[in-house]
Amino acid sequence: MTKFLKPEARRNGIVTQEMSDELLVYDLESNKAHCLNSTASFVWRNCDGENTVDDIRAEFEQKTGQTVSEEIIVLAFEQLHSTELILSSGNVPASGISRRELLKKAGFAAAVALPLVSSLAVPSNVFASLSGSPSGSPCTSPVECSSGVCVPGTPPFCA
Amino acid sequence: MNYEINTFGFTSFGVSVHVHTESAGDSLRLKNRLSELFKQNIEDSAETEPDFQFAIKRTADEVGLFKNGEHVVSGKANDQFMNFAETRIRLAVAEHAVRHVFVHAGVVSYRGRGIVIPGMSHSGKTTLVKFLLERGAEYLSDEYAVVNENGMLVPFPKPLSIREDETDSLQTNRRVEDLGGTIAEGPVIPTLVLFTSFNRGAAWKPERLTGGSGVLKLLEHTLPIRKSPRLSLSVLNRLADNAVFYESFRPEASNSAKKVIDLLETHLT
Repeated sequence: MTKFLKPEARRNGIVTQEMSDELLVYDLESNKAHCLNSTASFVWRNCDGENTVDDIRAEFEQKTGQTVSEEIIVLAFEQLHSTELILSSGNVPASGISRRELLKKAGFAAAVALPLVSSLAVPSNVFASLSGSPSGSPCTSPVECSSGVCVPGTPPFCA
Repeated sequence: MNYEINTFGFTSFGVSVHVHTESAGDSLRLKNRLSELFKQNIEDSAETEPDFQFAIKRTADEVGLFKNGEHVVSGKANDQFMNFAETRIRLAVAEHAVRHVFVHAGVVSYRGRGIVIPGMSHSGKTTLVKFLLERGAEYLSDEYAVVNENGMLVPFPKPLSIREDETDSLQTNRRVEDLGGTIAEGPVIPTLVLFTSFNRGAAWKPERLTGGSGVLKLLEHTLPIRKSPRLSLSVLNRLADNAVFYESFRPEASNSAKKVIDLLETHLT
């Protein structure tokens, strides 16, 4: 089944930044940032809507010089799909295996890095990082609070 | 009651700001403090159309801060209010700076190499900065790491907002010279980015992060990330060309400062 799937990477609404062997992706719509390791970024780049899972696996084997199981590629798809970096049209194959299980199966000395997509939601509230008491702190005046808002209460607290 | 309007303006990091006050004393104080802070990156701009207009207006028993005509906060006319107003003026510059990216962090230079300690308010970074200064580091900032488009650190030497102990919510502003420290000459090469926070009884156990993971964590503290994601990512990538990233809980800052310097020195060539 997976041999015929041709996943397509999302190219709109994102900003990318190449690093040495990682890729940073900022999602303009969700304001989430993602770091793709070398394996995940290779898979993502090769998701062009034309390459099948098998095509990507073959390319990756050629690049690394190592035999690569289809599960590794599909695990990358799962992570990329869950972070909305792969378009949702069509089915994304399920590897049926967790990253931990795959690591155990491949051994800790796996020749290729298992795919990893790390994500972070960028805070919307810049005031959270300002000097001044953080949200929830007791206050007597708005200027004590980084938000500038001291909510009346018993006792008053910073918004 | 009529008050005379005092206005001054400046442009710093490409952001033009006008400040209007109804008290000559307030105007002078803000102007002096902001001039000192932005002296390496400031020029008068009272004549141009500013990006931001701040106004401090007095009523019978309170003062109010307005930004571009919108009310921000009101309070008693005291030092705390003026500190708040300054913070918001600095924030306007930090969020909209041109060709520079502001990251909420403490920053020092040791042997000419930058140590960046990202963190939210109350994470203990100013306390750690203070102890690093006592060990011979030079001061860049306890509020913002300012990264230029070449990935280098530019000083932003506001007075340190010192808490008497790591759990105290009250702060006093202390000039670095009064603490026996000196301000670094910029730009400075960033060498160590350390994600750390005070955790009583915690063991110092720094774990190295990849460049990508380090920059990802930095984005949480990067002020213009939503407004300027492309600039933010590009500049922080340049920073990552020179810096290593670590994370660790730390015990009291007095015991941590030497460990931080030792960690930096393992990466000095």
